[in-house]
Amino acid sequence: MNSETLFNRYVGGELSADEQKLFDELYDQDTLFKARVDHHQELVQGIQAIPDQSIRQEVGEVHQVEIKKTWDNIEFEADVTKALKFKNQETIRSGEDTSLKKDQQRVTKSNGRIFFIGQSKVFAIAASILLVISLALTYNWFTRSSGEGIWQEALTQAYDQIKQGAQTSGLADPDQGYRNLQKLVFDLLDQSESEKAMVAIEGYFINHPRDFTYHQLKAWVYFKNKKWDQARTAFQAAVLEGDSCLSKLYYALMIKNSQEFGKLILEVKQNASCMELELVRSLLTRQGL
Amino acid sequence: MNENPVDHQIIQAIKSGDRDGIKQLYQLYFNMIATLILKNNGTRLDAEDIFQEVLVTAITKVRLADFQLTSRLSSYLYSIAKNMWLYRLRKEKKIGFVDTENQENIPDDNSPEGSDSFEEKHLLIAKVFDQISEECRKILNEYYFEKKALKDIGTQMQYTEGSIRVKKLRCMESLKKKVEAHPDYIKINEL
Repeated sequence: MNSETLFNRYVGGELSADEQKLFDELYDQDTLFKARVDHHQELVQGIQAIPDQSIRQEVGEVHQVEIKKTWDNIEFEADVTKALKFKNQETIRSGEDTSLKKDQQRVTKSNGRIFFIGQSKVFAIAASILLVISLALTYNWFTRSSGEGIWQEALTQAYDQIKQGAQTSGLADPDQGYRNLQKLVFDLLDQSESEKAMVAIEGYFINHPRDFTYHQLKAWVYFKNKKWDQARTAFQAAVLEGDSCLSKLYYALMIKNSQEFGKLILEVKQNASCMELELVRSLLTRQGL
Repeated sequence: MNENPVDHQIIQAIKSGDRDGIKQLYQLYFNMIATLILKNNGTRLDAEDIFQEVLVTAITKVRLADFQLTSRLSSYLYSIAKNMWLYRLRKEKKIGFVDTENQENIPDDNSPEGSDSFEEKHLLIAKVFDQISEECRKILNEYYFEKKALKDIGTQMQYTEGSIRVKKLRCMESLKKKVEAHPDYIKINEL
């Protein structure tokens, strides 16, 4: 059998055992034959490596199903990284432990259970009173101010007054637990410890109903950090949690250029008890509303 | 080289035409390739495009009768992706290249909020984190917080690299499910 026939039978995969033996001998001895076989092998491998269109289609179809989920998972991983960073900061944890425990130690113990004297309604009333005071002071400041973009300065003033109110509350205050939290939060914000402030809020509200005061306090944390969008969202949440007067007014001021602004202001105006507050009326008047 | 059991299972699935093999490649290795692309002047679309091309090349080769995996599957996919992306960078005359083979997390600065943003969802995740198994807490904490290599975590916990990779994936799925089932999650997403 000549080398040509042997090669052709090799290409066709038709070599018998004896022919294979001959083929191997020729491959080892004849450099030209070896080069021809190697070249053929490279060609075959090259052709085999060309992706089959069906594989491309298969990958494309899996891609359509998996890619969104995959990106979501990657984003979730980034969130977990942040969450764990935050969770593992010993200083934050000690801040949460010591500050909140101190607050809790101040409350009455009964039958082995710690409970806070102030409950959600008391918080709501106390917070409203605080906000009324702050809004009153804000109003005074407002009367001295004018121009566009006034809400940032107005809310800053309100923030300062709430902070002051929290720091001067008396020990006989029936809502001392919440006041302690407020004081702690504002102290931490003064130290630029926003994450600790958030932990303190979350820690406190694990054992308390998350009423509108929860969102209001968080709104101030965001506000202090100039995270206007998040502050606005938190004030909006306070409104959704039932504060249809002051939080609504703050929220409305923060979205003055939106279509919703007019609707919210109308709702505030239609809220008879809210409109009884001279400060609200004056603030609306001051804004030309 | 002994074939890793997880790699072996994926390769067998791909050879037999089972699409779960490709799905697992997305779950286990897309992040690694996306990190490579995003760290080297690429976009999300580039990452998706290159990953698909890597899969087409790898699957074509895996399905050849004489295919032998001579390294870890992750290294194999990474090397294909790196060559493809380097070729494209050269073609587009973009210079500079950062090797990210041992760095699988897409950096924080690619997240829309920026690295220092802090949101309610992070608090929720931190809270729910305590509800997953102790083993999962250990794996996730060491990987995402202590930034240990998966291989080292696996060695310490007596898992192969492939197994620890799958364990980590399952732990993340468990955490994600618990977070998404939490009542606060719905509230956060409504706002």
